[in-house]
Amino acid sequence: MMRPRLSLAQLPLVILLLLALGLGYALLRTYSSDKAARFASHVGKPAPAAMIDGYDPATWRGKLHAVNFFASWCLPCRAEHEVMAQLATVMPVIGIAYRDQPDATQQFLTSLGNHYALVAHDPVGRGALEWGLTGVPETFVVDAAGVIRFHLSGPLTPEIMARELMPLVQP
Amino acid sequence: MLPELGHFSLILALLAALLQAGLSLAGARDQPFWQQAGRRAALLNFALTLLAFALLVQAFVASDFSVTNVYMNSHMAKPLLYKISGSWGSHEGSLLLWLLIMAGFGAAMAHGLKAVPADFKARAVGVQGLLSVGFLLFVLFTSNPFARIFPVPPQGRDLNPLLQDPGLAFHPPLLYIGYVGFSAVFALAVAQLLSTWPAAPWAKWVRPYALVAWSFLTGGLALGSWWAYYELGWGGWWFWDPVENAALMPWLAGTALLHSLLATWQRGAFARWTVLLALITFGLSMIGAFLVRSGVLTSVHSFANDPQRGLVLLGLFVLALGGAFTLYARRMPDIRGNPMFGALSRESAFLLNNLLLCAACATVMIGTLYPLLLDALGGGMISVGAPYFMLTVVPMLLPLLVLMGFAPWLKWRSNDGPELLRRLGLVALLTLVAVLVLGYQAGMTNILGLAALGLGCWLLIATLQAAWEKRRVTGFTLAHGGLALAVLGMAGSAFDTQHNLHLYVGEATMVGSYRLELAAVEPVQGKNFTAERAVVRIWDDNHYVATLLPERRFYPVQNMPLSEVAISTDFVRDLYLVLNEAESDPAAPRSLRFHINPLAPWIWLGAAVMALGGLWLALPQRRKQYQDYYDDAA
Repeated sequence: MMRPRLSLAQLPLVILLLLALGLGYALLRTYSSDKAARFASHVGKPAPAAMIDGYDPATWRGKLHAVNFFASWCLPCRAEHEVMAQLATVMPVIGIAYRDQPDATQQFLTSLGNHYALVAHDPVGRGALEWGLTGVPETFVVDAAGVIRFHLSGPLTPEIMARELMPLVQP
Repeated sequence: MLPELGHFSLILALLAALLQAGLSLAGARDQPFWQQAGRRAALLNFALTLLAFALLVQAFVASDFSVTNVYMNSHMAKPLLYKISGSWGSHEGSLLLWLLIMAGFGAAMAHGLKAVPADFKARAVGVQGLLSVGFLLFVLFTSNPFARIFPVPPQGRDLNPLLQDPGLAFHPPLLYIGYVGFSAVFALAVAQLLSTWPAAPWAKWVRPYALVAWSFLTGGLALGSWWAYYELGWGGWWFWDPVENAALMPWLAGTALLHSLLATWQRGAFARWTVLLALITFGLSMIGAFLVRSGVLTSVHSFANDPQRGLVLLGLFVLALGGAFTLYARRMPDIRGNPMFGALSRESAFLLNNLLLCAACATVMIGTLYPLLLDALGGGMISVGAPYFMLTVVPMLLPLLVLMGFAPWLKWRSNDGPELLRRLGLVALLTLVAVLVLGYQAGMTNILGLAALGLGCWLLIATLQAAWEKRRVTGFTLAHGGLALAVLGMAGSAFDTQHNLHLYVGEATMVGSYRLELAAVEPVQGKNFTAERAVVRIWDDNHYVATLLPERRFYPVQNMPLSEVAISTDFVRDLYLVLNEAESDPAAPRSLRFHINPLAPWIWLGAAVMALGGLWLALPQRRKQYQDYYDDAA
């Protein structure tokens, strides 16, 4: 008795169908789910421990602080910069320049003002990989225990800051 | 009126494509009259699509803002070249270009395939017609390039200034001839599954189409990378962006295909694999189109997206590839080749070539799709960047360069090992000398960079030496030699240096042996932008080299600033200068970024030579070029 068996010649078809299912699922997710909801997965997880340039998460353990990925070439970052200045008045903000030229970063900070407690450079995006960055600007708030308490992809606005960040500062 | 005529002629093209597919496939077995009608329909499909395309270009040139597509992507003040290139700068317009090329290849097969069996030809034309039908439906139902708006806006929104550049004006057409050219290869592979002719002649019929597609894809990729180099102002030329990867995948698979086609043609080797690879290569082109246009990946290349388009494209992909693979599963046992060859032979070199290229292609694909997969599984969002690809893909391609040095001397069936080594002894010695000289010039510290330079030298010397000894230059010499030049250019970027300068007007500074003087910063008024232009004079050891004029432009319509890089090249190194944005304090010095990029222009020069080599091999052969080149004794 012959049983139906997967032969080598059918392998391309099987791989194609798996790929198509995966791509279709990814497509549906892209449009159906609220993007912000997916970021919840980062909240509650420990912050990455790897050092990025001058930013060593170990030395910041015990202190509530924000980590803001930005770049001089990113227009929304320019718009967000003022809100970062406000945020810097309630907690130290570490700026990480993502895929930027150091001179361009410097110029960005000179012309708009530098409110960062520390500026670290992530020229090839290795640090961004650790943090699971989706783009710039992107902001994380790490609590004293080193756990991510807030995560936002896209520019921080005064409203989001008042609604979601201030409660973290005054429990 | 004219835009409606364009829309109408696309609808007629759909009917022509239906006839092309229906008549050709139904009459393939023994209906010469139907086959001929199918061929005529293929020509008609091409003519009607060409008319639609010409009418879209006309709407752009005439700035007819009642057409949404023109309104979104054009502006009256835009230079003529960019009005024309704007017609393929948008999602809808670029799909029309895709259709045009697809119909063009269909017409080319209908009238260009000479001396092939009638049933095979009719099936190839018919399958190409089916592909045209699928994409025409996609355009007509989801992406009509001729849609109108009312009320008519008085002025357009202009094309993204980054895209207003001569290099980028021609990047999409070249790239698309490459992508879509593989649709003809796909059609010929499906026709083979339907007809099952002997593998060797089939490979001979397919090879010119694969060569043309590959050459244009090479040219398109090179033009895109060159554009990124001089327009983005980051000093780099390849960023492993998802969409760059989407174009790289069919290129890697296509390169493997060219070699396996040669082995199938000349020796009947890899007969089953070659057919599958031909299907896969066009599949990768379609995945590329899906990734760019569906919005699942975000990238600098993305078009405005909506989910419907993505779903339809995915459906087309599954129908085309699923149908072809189902057929493959049934017909694969009927394809017969000649699998016998020795361990040290050209066949085994091609096998290694295919393994390495396909592994590299799969690795690029995994890196590109992994973020999607992880996110779909709830693992959060990540991005995979250059470090991954540099650590995985590049090491797979390096052994290929070593192998390519042996290519001119490899024979079918089997080779004499000691003879092969004797032939290449001189090449190895010359390479060693070249590396030592280069190492002395560049410093011995950058070992990896030197190794890459060495591989480029090895390939270049081996290719030239073989051409010299055989007294023959062929497309092969150009394709492999061009790659050697490109590899040298890429290796050169391991020695790039970058310097940040802060200069007052009239001030000068030294960078290595170069002296740079900022002579002036002057305002410039362009046709659709305003700019500041720095005048920088450069001397090298007191010899005047060049005056570079980098600009900082502002495009008011799109409210977008842009750096215009200035480059001076002598083909040994590029001097690359970027003017940064002015400080808010007018008394502050101007900041400039200065790169010295050794061998950079060779990357694109080499790619152009490769593409020419591919086209040369695609020309009708007066002599049996490949055989002569390889097997002198034969």
